[in-house]
Amino acid sequence: MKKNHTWKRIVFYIALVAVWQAFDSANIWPDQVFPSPLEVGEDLVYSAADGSLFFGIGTSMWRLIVGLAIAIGGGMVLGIFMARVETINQTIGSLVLGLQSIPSVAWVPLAIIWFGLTDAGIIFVTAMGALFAVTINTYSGVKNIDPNFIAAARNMGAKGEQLITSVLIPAAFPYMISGFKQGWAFAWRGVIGAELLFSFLGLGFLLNVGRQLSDVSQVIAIMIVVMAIGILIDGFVFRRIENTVMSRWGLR
Amino acid sequence: MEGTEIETRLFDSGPQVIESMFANSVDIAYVGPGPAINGFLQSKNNEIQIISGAASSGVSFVVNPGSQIKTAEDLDGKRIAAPLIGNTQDISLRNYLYENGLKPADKGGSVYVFNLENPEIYTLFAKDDIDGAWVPEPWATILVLELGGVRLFNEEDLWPQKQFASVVLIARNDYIKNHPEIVSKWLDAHTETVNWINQNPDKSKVIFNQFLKNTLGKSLKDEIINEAFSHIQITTDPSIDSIYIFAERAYSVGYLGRHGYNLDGIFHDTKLVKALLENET
Repeated sequence: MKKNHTWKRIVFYIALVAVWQAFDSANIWPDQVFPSPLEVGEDLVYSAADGSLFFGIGTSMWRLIVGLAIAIGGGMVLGIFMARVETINQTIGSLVLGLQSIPSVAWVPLAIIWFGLTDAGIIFVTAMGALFAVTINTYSGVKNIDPNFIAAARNMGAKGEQLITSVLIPAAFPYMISGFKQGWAFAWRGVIGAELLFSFLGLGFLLNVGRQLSDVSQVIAIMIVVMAIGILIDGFVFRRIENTVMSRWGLR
Repeated sequence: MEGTEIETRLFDSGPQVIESMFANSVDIAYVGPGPAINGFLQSKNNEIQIISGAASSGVSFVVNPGSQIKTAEDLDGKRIAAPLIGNTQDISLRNYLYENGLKPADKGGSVYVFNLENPEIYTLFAKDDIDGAWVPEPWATILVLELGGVRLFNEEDLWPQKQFASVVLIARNDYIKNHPEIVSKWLDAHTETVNWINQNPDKSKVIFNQFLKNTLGKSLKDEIINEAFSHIQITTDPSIDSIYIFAERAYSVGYLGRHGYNLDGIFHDTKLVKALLENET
């Protein structure tokens, strides 16, 4: 079964590249507008060889990790408070729903003015992109805890910090994991979008270089890298954590 | 030819001009050599040609007085701005870094190169967010006179013959073929204008300032105009050697792909260019 899947996938990608090559060979568009897969591949090799690709990936990943960590920390705190304190839910809660509808790149102008052209500005955009997804999922997770668990813990004397760390967070964890996963997807888009607009190092910057030099094959090459990293992190990090959590919590 | 209407358009930077020429929305343009070379090579040597020079020199490296930059080594770890990626000053700045054993941060080096539009460079320079800027006139002079920047050197001082093309006149190849008479008329008018500017510097400055006021809504102080003009030579000489050197530099910083490049045919074979070529040899 699994093997069958892999084969289908390999055939699909080979076909995709073949169709792409066919379009290129048909010469419908000039090469400076529509490059061949070979040219894109060459661009990848070239940017790997001069190191710029790896510095780009490293910079983007670093910003992603810091931004996502801030979003996860902040989102958990905010989500738990929203779920436990009714006033906060009625006030800040309504604002969070509104803020979640703002695309992360819409924070870029503010970030440039507040932080200047710094890593902090890009990290800010990343964190803002992911923060509310984590908040809302944490909130739903805590809201959905069986009230009997909380009552039982209280009866046994759990309160304050202990109630949160030993009862609320573990009980809400499956929801929170989906929040982290969603948050990561938003954060990754946020990083690339912000780098494209800030034009200050990272993969988004390399995309912008391709655009400025009218080098379409570099643009496509970097898009492929962004996608590949997305697939890798989603598949290897988040899906694994999710599976582990789901089976440990007996949800699967 | 009579009755040919000229529609003028202003662009923020050369790379945008090239985009528009590829899209056939611009026929003749004044741009820096960086975008001219990139446009010529990107279109596989057949869309854009240089038909004349327009200006030479007029670029300076201005540093923030607080940055303590005195020599090239001091650039280590600093934040330096140049206009957009692939623009002429950007190529010169990156080349200068490599020549001095430094690397920009995007290649893993220690110098942060910011590619920004000139007005943004001004704002960041004022806020001390950048330590230096490699900019054309009149921005270099504005940074010096309005923000107390220090002109570390004029770019022409780095060049073998103390001059390099900073603006060239380019045209779409198709347009040259289909409307040679318009192009040749344009070249005559261009030469005439260049001579007139050189013979009437004071009037030129007044006209330039009036132009700024009309198009940007803001004029510059006389002292800025005077100093900025003193750094630029208006000339029809495209400094052919400097075009070849620019191409070499753009290639070595990785802007012209990786298969080598060939500038054959970048200069349109006008009498003017021919004459210049003969003068040089």
